[in-house]
Amino acid sequence: MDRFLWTSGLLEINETLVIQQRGIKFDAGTLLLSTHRLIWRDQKNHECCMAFPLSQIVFIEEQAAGIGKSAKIVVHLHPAPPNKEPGPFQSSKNSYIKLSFKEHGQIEFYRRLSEEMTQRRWENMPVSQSLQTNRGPQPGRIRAVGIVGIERKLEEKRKETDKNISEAFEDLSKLMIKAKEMVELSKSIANKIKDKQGDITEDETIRFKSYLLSMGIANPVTRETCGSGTHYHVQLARQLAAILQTPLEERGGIMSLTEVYCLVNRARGMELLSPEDLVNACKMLEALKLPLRLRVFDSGVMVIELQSHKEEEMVASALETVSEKGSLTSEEFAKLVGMSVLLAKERLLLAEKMGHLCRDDSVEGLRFYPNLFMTQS
Amino acid sequence: MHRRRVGAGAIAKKKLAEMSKQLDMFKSNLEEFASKHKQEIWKNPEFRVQFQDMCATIGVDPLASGKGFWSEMLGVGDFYYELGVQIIEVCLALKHQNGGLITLEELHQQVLRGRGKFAQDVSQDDLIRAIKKLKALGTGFGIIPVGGIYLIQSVPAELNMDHTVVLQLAEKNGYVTVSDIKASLKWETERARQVLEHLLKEGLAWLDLQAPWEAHYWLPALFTHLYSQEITAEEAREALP
Repeated sequence: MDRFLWTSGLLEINETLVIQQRGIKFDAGTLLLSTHRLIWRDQKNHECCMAFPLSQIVFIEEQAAGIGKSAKIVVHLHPAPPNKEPGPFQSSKNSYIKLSFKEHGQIEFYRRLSEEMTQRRWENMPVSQSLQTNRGPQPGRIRAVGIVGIERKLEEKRKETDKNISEAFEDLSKLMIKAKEMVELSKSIANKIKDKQGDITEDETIRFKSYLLSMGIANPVTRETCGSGTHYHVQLARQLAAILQTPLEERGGIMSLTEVYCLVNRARGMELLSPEDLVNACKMLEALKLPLRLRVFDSGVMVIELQSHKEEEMVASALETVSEKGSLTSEEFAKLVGMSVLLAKERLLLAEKMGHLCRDDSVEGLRFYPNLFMTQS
Repeated sequence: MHRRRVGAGAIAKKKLAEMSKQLDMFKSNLEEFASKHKQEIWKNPEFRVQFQDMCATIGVDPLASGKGFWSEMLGVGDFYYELGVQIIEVCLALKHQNGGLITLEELHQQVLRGRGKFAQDVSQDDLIRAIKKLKALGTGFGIIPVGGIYLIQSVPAELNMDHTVVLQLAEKNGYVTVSDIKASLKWETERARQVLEHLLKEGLAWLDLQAPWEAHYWLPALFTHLYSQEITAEEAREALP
């Protein structure tokens, strides 16, 4: 049957699907009627798709079903035009095809096909003469249809997303109302606790703090977002002591809290610690008699040091290093000793505070010298 | 008297029990919400902004703790805490160049680059929230509005109002001179010089003595903002300690 041509099965712009019917013989396929074409698609192999324009149809007739025979529509066609694109057959002696409806639907299909034949809509809505082929497609045309298809999908997705989001917001608002009630409740509890300290047990206070922690409510009494004193932070502190022992030893016994934050969270991968979690846990290290402690320098920089680490002793060695070199900036010192610049600076500042070093502050930077005023006066 | 004291304590205990019950209910509501909408929060920066604002309005901080319900059920915590780590790493890598001062825009680009193309999208608002949380670590993270942009400070350099105002002045051209300051801000020469010297000392400004007429004080933090220069991933990697 040479009227058919291969097609990619995409609908053209302006072409709309009129009806589709499954179970059409040509080895079980789906027949699609559009405003412009009759398309047959193999049910098993969706890539295999054939079509011919409706304009090729001369007339159609019905053939009733019989015993062992399914209903058919016979479609009589014009001869193939000379410039027809490639199809399953190059030539054929028949000028008609028979559409065998294995799964019924023939009546409806016949009706629709007749309608289309009468209306001849393809004449009013011109579609480019060259139909899509899935061999050697013309780039311009396919892109246009492809883009329309993609745009359609995007539009659907957008609508879907909008619907999801507004639903999400609705649900979120309801949640927030409940959350607000909890905030109010916690405030009134906090007031009661504040007033009548003696009647609330230690245990209950800890429980209360953990409730606040779960909800993310700032402790109405102390204003901190509930830190020290909850079981969670005690547990965390012990974990940190275990995790940080080796890294600290590798880094000369001292690490900035930023380094610790990155190290711990990178190691965890999930269920990460918030900065506040870390700080609150570290605040408990000393109280829990763990081998690390939190230290806050004058500048506000926070570090974790091993208990065994004596920063003051390190200062003595820092003085030696500076004396050897005559003078050093934080950067130079950091490089020599193998420390971060931040901690190097803190050590030099501490040394200065203790009177071992004095500074030369100029536009070229901050440089430290051994304090000769002290040693040579 | 005695009865009143016991009464007040008992009320607190009762309220605590009530809170515990409400908490359980809230937790399951949140679980339900999460199972339906967790994807939205993950995918949608707009939704995250709204969510954060709503929380702030009612007095709840969903990022306070990784142990909080919000973090556990919705996963908002992991998103922001990991972002915090990435921000720290970028700032550290570029510190030698810009002294610890970087535009939000450049930080955004570098963070996105580091995350790779299959990662969750991140907005500037997300970065700001993550940075606000990082302040708790005491390392001098700060957000400085300068004209129409934000500068992110990642070292504990002392920057007061005078310094900030000069930074704003520098935003237009990437540099500033003593004359510029005197003309725009009507300061004395000495005041202008002190501010500029401080920026130099902190490594935030570079001195250009070869400029015509007078010394230019350049702010490397503003370079990419002006010239859309980009350091390659290779350079960034090399810059890491």
